[in-house]
Amino acid sequence: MYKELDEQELARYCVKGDRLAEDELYRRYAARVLTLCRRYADNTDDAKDLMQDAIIRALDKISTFTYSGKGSLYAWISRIAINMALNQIKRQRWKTVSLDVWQRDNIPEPGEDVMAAIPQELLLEWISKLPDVRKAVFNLYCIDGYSHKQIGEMLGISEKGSAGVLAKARKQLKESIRSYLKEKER
Amino acid sequence: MKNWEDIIKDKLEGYESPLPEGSLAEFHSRRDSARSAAAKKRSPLVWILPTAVAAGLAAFLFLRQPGTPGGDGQDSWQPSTMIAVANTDTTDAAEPVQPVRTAQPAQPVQPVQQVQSSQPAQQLIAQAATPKAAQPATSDTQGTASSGQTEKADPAGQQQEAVQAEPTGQTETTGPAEPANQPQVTNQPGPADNQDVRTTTTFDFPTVELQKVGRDASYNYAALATAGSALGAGLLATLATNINFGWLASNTEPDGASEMRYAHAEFLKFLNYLDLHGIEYTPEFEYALIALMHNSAAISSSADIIGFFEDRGIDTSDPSFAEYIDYLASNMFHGGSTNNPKKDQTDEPQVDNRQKITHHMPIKAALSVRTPVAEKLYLTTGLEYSRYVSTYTYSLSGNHKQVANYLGIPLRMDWTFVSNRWLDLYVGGGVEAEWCLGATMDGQSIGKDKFSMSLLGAGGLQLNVTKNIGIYVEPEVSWKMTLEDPVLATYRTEHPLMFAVATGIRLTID
Repeated sequence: MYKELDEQELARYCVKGDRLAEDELYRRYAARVLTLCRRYADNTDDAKDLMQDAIIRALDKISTFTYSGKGSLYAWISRIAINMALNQIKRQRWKTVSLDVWQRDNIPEPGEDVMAAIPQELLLEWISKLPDVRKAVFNLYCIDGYSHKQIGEMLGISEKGSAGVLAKARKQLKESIRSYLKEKER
Repeated sequence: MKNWEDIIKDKLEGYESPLPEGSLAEFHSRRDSARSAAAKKRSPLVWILPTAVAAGLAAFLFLRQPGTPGGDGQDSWQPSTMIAVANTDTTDAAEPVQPVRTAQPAQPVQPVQQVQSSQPAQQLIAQAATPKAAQPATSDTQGTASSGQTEKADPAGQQQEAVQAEPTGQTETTGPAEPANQPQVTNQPGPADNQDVRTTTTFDFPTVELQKVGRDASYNYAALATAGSALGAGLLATLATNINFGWLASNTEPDGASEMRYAHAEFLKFLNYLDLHGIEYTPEFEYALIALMHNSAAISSSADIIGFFEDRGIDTSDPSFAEYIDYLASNMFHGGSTNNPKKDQTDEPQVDNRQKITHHMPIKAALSVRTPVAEKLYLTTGLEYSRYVSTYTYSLSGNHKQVANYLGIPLRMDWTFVSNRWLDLYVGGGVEAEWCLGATMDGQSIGKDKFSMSLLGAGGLQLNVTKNIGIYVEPEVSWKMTLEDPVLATYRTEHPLMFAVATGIRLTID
């Protein structure tokens, strides 16, 4: 029964505290939320914890959800997960400190066919291995669609700083892709 | 053609990561835990209590102001005549002077007031050390201490008269009278008088016994205390380091300061005599002289004086020294400075012997360790080294540098209200125990100060070098609790309520 509920109704049942509706919400969105969390967390275990906490937080605040169309419930949950991930990143003494010297990015951008051949798991792994700031900026800008101004406000950095960090993230990911391709050619 | 980043976005946006086995069960477990935890909300006291403690400490430190004798660490050149001018009307609540042990190998010094043991607490101080011609005491002046006044016209006398004609509020004082004489007490409180008192009270020679500081004055800084309550003791300490608190000092006479000023005045007067007569003296002699003045009750003859100096390794064989011994004897055994200035007359030229004392702001460095006790709450302790430097300058005897070193162990609870990769900001409050490692005067050891404890309020900024190591800068306010009378005169004794900036390395133990 709950599998047939649309997002608005599902949310309504969750507001009432229906445990089965909550389970249905978990089944529907946990996997995608886990993908999102893997992009922000340092490792798989942290990502799982973040996913669980994000969904529980969403259920705690489900009464504040306002349905605005198809996909709005997932978008709402993903924003909660992103905020929690960023708070965690800001709270932590970032474990990785980038010591690389910035050099001009001369790496050619990979083509569509190259990118199509790269599995999602590998992309997630490369992204999660980025230093915290670069990872956050890349995810927020390239995948989650935030502007540099918004990213600056969220992370407490300037717009220019956000753009600079993004450039470094791009360069590092392209290096990962290039290394992968070289390994694959051997 | 799609951008490679857009391709990543498309690939990952709809991608569903495989859920681990038992994730739903784990979800149930966490959900139930969250529900039961929500029922037991954390008491707001967890957040209110440390803030209230810090605010209360700030309010206490600022409202509870011990009267500090004028010293604000500022340099001040004072003519010697000013030293003896005092407003003693606030010595009603005189406390018995506590003798302070010094590191000198001398006999235990006695408080100055023992010289005038029959005198009431309120005393006038002789205008000692007023520039005047020093000459051996004559019968006319026997029984009286030179009060720095002379009837004979001379430039110094005019100066002296000018001093006597100081603005209203200044009290002409006389030295300790003979036991049979009662001092003249003139109480003329006033701003000018208070101002003079305030600027002249920080004259303690380091090895001289310190009088207990009176606590007559208190200031109501309700607005400042309110701001401190709002921001916390630590933030207020950060602001306060930029404020000159000289005007916070008491403008009333602290207990026993009159005796100290007399002792110091006598000391300067004796130095005058030595300089005028070309008697060479060493720092050791100065120390011995101070000790002598405070121990004069135990001395009843010139021989006693000679023995006193010789016990301290002072060579008294110089013929001019014998003359000085007579001078000392006549001034000390017969009551020292008289309470009647006009009895004390001398033809000796007046010597302007100014004195200047500077207590420099202390320097602190520390190694600190902290451990979390709750979210955003840390227990901080460690080792803190403090260095207090004071410069005593006399125009006749030159500069004397006192250095005192302390080691403290603070214990503080900190609330970190901002924390990120690079920076932590926090406020906290606690206590600190301090031990004196040693003190020197011109390189010579003068012993150690006594154990002390302080209440602390601090705010801090920590630069996180790594996850567990940081460098911090910490403005702090501390109030030194008087457990025992201090031995040394330092910035601490002049400012029980003290602001300092500590810096160091901190290790965070998770």
